[in-house]
Amino acid sequence: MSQNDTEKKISAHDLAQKFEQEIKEAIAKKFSIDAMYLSLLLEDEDGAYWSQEEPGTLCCLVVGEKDGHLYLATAKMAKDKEGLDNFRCDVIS
Amino acid sequence: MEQERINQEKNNKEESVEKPGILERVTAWRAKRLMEKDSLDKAEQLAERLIEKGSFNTAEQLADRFIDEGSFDRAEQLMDRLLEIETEMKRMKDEVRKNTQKEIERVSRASGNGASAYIEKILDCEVEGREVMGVASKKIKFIKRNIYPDHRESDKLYGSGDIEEENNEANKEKREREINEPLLREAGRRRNLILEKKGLLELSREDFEEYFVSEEFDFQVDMRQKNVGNCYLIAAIHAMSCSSHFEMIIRSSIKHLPDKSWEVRMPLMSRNSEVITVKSQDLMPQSNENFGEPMKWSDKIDRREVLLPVKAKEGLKVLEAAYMKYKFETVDRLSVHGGVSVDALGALCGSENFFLRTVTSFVYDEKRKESKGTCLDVLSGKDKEYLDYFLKNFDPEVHIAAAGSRHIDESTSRGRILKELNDRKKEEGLVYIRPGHAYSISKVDPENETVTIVNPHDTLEPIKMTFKDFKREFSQLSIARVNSAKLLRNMDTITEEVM
Repeated sequence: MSQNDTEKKISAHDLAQKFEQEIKEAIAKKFSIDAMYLSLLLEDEDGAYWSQEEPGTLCCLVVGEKDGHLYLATAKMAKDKEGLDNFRCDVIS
Repeated sequence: MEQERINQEKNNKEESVEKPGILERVTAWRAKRLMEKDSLDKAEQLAERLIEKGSFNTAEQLADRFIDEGSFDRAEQLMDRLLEIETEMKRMKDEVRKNTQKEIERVSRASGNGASAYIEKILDCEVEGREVMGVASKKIKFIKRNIYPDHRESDKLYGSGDIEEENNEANKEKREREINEPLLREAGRRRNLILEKKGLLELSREDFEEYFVSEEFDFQVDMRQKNVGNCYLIAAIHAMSCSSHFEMIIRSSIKHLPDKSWEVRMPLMSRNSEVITVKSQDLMPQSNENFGEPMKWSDKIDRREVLLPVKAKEGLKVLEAAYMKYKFETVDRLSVHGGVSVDALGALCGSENFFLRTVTSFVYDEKRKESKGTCLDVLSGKDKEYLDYFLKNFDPEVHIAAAGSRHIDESTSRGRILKELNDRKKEEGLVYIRPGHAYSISKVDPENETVTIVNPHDTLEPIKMTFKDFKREFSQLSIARVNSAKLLRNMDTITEEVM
């Protein structure tokens, strides 16, 4: 794995953890559920990643502990390269 | 004393309403005379009037007549109209019943026992007929006007009623997709990677592709039910194969042994599963012990010398055999006859990693191994809400679903008419739904309001139908949904236990 990939890998998990609240709130708002019951899959290597389909898009898998759904939350790297914006989410399964 | 008086009045009311009124009897007589004189158009007008009064015999006789004369479209339209009115009356009755208890309490507080006793009497009355509904609705309007003059208040009482919040799924509107398909597919692949790394995939990908799916049919599953009445099981297996989880389910639950036998964990993917061994002889046709004898579920003689497994790839036959061994301890192609898809889905999927749900308007007769019922169109309350939610939100990524078509009771005149119409559709190559049969659901298009179903007799020939036709033709829906939270946690546990 190249250093760039490694950095991206660490950054994906770190960024997702940093913006955990925003990610959960986006899902909670769209699907009318309690954010308390959402868990980001950050323990798994593939739980957060930079999309290869859409460069510059952070993807994070989130489990709904109560409803059993698996959600995908995405966000774009902000223009200042330090944050994330444009949060979106959908159900995967 | 008061209760005795009410019961007596109720009995008198029942007696008076059971027989049609004079006007209906005269109209029916006129319609009959017109039919005898071949004035079917005029007879049809009178039949229509009678349908609206809740009198259906004339319409059934006229439909019979239309069929005799080959006017199948007119017969079908008449039956549709009849069903429409009957459904509406059932819905009105259910709506009135739903608010009974609350209405009685509130009206009693407002106006004393008189009005509440009257409502009780009406709602206890089991007699069908528009007259009863008309009386009930007039009384309710009177009460609304005089006791609850503020209509907004009365709307709270008599409107859609209290919709219970406990099933949130049924109350949510469909959410528009925000994320594009390539990203969603990518996420699906990542999810599978997580599960692969967590779980124990006992079947190789090569074996999965060789024994379960067909590359020539774009990796779809090709199954054909043969002469065993286990359509509910084949439909359930096919419904599972339409799910994006099918590969993961199969590969984590089935092992192909060096001696060519198979080990299947039932329920699939479950930690607390039973390991079923399936050998090659379990997949062979069976000699029919009942050959030449009357069938258990009908008077017909069983002419099947041999009972055949599903025509499909070996892995799918293994699933069929594993189900039978799980249920009956042996591959018994006689005992597996007759059942409902929710039972098959329950045995295959289990409740550990799946949510299971069924909505039904039928009653299953265990003895006769057949269902008796109407159609999904008559559902009300939470069942109706869930059905509508399902049709708006079906997603093969999320749902595994099968449906049971309504049973036609040929011992009734209505049943005989419906059977003739059905047979005609079959002969003319129109969309024909076999009565009392199970189908898997492969696709739902909420925009165009169509459902695509698949007949276990040939899973490569899907059938598309409108929502309206689907609700009319089917009486039962079984759904399994993956519980991703439990699945991932259970997979963690499996890995820990192995280590």
